[in-house]
Amino acid sequence: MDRVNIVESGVTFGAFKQDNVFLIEKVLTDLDYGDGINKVEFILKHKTGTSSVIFLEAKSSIPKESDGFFEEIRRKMIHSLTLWVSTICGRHSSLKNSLAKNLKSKEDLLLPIKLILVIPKLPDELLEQISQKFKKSLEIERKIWDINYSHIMVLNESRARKYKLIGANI
Amino acid sequence: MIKQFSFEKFGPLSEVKSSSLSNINLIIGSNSVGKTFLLKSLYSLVRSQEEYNKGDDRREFDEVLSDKLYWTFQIEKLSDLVQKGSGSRLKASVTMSDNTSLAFEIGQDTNKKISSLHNNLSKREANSIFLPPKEVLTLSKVILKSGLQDKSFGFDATYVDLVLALQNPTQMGRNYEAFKTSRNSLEKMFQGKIEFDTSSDKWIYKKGNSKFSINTTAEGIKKIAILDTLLGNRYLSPSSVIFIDEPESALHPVAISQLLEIISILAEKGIQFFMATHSFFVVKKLYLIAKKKNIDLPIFLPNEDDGWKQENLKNGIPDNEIINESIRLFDEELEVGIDG
Repeated sequence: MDRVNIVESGVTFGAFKQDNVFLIEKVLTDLDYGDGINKVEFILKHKTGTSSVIFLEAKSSIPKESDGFFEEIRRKMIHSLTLWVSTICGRHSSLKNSLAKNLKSKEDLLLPIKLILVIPKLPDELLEQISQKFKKSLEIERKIWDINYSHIMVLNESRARKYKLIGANI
Repeated sequence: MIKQFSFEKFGPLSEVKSSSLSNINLIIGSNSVGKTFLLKSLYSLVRSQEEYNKGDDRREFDEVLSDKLYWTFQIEKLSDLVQKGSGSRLKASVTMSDNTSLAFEIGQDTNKKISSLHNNLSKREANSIFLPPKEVLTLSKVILKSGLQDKSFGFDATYVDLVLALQNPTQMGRNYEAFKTSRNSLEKMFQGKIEFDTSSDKWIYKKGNSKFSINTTAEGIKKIAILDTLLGNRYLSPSSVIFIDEPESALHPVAISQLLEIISILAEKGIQFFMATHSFFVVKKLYLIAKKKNIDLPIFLPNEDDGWKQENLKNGIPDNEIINESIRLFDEELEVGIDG
């Protein structure tokens, strides 16, 4: 099966099976669909042990004024999540065929959702605090979508590698 | 096990009510919101029932309770415990897991005797204990002299009770497996034991064949050793309730995590814990324990309108000032510049 690599923020994510990845940003741009919708880099059916659906955004740095930054990431996560769910529910007929094969069934809606921000060069000692800020920015959405508290996280390159998002072949 | 509690107009506690409690319960909040007060309130009620009818003590329950409140909170009269305000009455109640309960009220004119009292709690053979942030071993003689001989205020009843509890000699023979495992882990943490040396009438710290004065022993070691001793001398049993004020005090973050792992093992055996903390590590570690073991872990925190709310730590760490300060430091660090 074809594998996909995604280069973002100076790192290469993947390789993932093509059927497991929805390149939401690219697809919506190619289709010229949904102007104004904020999109994450990609949505991934992640199968390491229990299956989950990952919404991943990558950033090379955090600006000094971080509130606006986290608000932007929050919008990307929630717009992408809502669009994915509503597409599976049949509300976007033109998008449904573009969804990855393993990310289009109604059963997928019941999988754990993970919202992950990857900042490759982030020092280890800042991971905890930035994760807390990220979790706090999505506190209400976490409740609305019943997302596990631990499933909203910030990773650097080494953690993303450990998490099989970089240097993987899955 | 305490199943529920409710306090109204009790010192700084305007109103705090629990829904169902668990074997591990956490209280957080800034200084002066009443975390320690809440722990001491629960301790006073449970410990009164444990002391009632013990040995040759012929005091009625209301006397035992009045004495416990008096010596724990060190007040001139019971009405000093009632939150100030026109006509307000202190209302307190606890319900145990067997659905028996204790409830009482104190009015603004109550001096010594609690009149409005309901108590159908079952007799409690277990012993509960309050572990304050500071260790008591080095001050044990002073505490006993002040609390028992001189009968003077200074060290409250939680200190005196703890020093007395530590005086029971360590028992040989079979102990609960979970207690044995926990004692081994605790002793590994501080690589030794503490013992009461009857010849010198002093506590000592033993590491290998060496003996050290308790005065020169690290604060954290003494803190861990106290729990070890109470498990070893059988003062504690699976029905005990342990109240720990600031489990993090004097402990390195690694030791905090280790201590909380031990606490989770003891909780599985039946001991109920109530802890008050300011520590991010304690909150985070307990969240992880709740997730991994899939156990409910009630967390109490003040809300905006002078009351308290209860959430379940298993479902995530609720928005709170400990985390917010961590984030604020992160923002400050960003302003300083993380690149140098």
